[in-house]
Amino acid sequence: MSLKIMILSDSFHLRTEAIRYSIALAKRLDAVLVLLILLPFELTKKTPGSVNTVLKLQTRAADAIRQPISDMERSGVPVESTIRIGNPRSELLKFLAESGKFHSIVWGGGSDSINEKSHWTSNLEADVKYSVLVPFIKPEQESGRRSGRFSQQRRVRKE
Amino acid sequence: MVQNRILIVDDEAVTRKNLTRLFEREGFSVSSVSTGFEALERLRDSPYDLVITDLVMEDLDGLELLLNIKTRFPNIEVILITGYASIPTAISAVKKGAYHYLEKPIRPEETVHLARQAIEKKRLREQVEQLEALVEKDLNAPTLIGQSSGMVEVLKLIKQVAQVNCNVLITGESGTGKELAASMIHSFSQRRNNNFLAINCGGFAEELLANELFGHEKDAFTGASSARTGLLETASSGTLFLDEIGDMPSSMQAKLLRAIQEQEIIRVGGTHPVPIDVRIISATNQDLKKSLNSGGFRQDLFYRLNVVSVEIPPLRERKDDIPLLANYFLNRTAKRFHREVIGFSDGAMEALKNYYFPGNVRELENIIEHAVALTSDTTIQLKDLPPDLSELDIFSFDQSGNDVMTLKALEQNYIQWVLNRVGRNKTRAARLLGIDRSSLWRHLKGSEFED
Repeated sequence: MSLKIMILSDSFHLRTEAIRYSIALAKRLDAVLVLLILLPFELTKKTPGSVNTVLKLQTRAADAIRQPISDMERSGVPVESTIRIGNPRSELLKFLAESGKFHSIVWGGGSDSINEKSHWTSNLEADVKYSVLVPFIKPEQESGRRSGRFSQQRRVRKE
Repeated sequence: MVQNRILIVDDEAVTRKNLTRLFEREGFSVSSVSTGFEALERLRDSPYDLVITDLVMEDLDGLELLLNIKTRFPNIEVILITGYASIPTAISAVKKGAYHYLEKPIRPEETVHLARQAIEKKRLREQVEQLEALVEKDLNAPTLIGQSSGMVEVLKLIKQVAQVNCNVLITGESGTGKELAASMIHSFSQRRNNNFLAINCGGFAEELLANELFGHEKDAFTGASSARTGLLETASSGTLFLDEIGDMPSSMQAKLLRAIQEQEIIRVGGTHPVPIDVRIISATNQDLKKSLNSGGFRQDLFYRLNVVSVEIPPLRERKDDIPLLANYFLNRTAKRFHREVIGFSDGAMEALKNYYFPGNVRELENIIEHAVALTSDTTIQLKDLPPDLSELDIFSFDQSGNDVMTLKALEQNYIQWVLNRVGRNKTRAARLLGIDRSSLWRHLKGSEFED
């Protein structure tokens, strides 16, 4: 039974370092990659044309992840992908309940948004039993200082 | 604690005196001699960890002394002291096996630091050799490797619990060595001469798992042309390791509970109970207590399995073990691949120590095997390790420090447990909880888990 590593994002953009790290980790652990894109959207009966909007989002997301998926496949790691639209936290929990166990979750979405306390991933560790790994390029390899929840020490999200 | 023993070799009395005073002040046991020949005599008579020798001496110089030491006492580390003019010679000495060289004038802090590092390297090598000897002595003996305080406690508990014939629950992240721990418990126990069988409960569909655990009678189902014993029966008088016990379906949990309580099983399609005598060691990387609250795992079975629990810490929480484990895997792989690779550069070891290791020991083993296979050097360099180790920082939000559940989390768990009990019927759940349906909806909305 293969281990599964999830790359999780809440936008069309997937960070390069997250893709690189997920591929490297999957190769080391002989795992398959599961790319999960959660696009925030509140579907209500009152929203005009909401079904069309959902379909457009779906198509745009599928286009955006085509290249990363092809990169992953080229590296020899099996990859599956899913796009969910709705409340990201709720959709993630439902996806985890449906999909069985993952070895790790790698955050592939924006690094600035996740740094905010109001972000939907805030306190996610209370609901999700996995470590959510956030890869960053080492400070010596990029200019500028990081700030926010990950500023001082690895592993701990700032209160 | 073992005192670190240093032998100083220098033909200048002042240098010998100064170095002796410096190292004694730092708690080392120090001897000194003025010639290379005297040094070899001392090494023959007494054990030393480190020789610090001047490079330029009459009769036997530092380089000749180094070669003699490496031939006759290969485990002793050597540091050379040299003047500026002899630095190229000192560098070639390092290539011939010296730990390092010190340039005159000697700086006390740097000297003591270097000596400590050299002795630490010697001790590490000795530990790895001991481990290898242990493994070679009995190739079948499982061994968990670690000298950190966390692992020392785990190993102590494993040896203690092995002597008691009780069920054990091993917890720990994937790749920490849970099966190895179970195997160790079996090999230290009175049951060691009988079977140790293992099964991954998450890898089978329910019917298949029942068949594997309980066996079946002839004609129990289409294709069952003969009777077959299950693992619980085959492991009788021995140990059965149930990996990923948290993934066992509820109906199987009930059957396993009955087998443990009654110490008997009924084969699939059978009617007669078969007595068993089996010790069950189970393992999980899940929080089973959380599953108890949500109704995913039976409480009565949990307490039957968890008579004693052994928790194996993740590698990132026992970074002190990384050099020992890395050297152990390095020696083993180098032998297997017939490669002359003897250690790690400081940069490579630093990168390993700083990495997060979500895949734990299994991931470290994989990294070292790749590095040994690919390196063109006699020591693993930073460039031989996966690039992500040196180029990326891995941060994580995990569950550490979350031992105490918040009132809100407890409330949500309870609501989910009640919902599961009533087949997720919200009206019945609300009635049981003593709240109206709209309040329940608000609670569920608050938990972000919308059905």
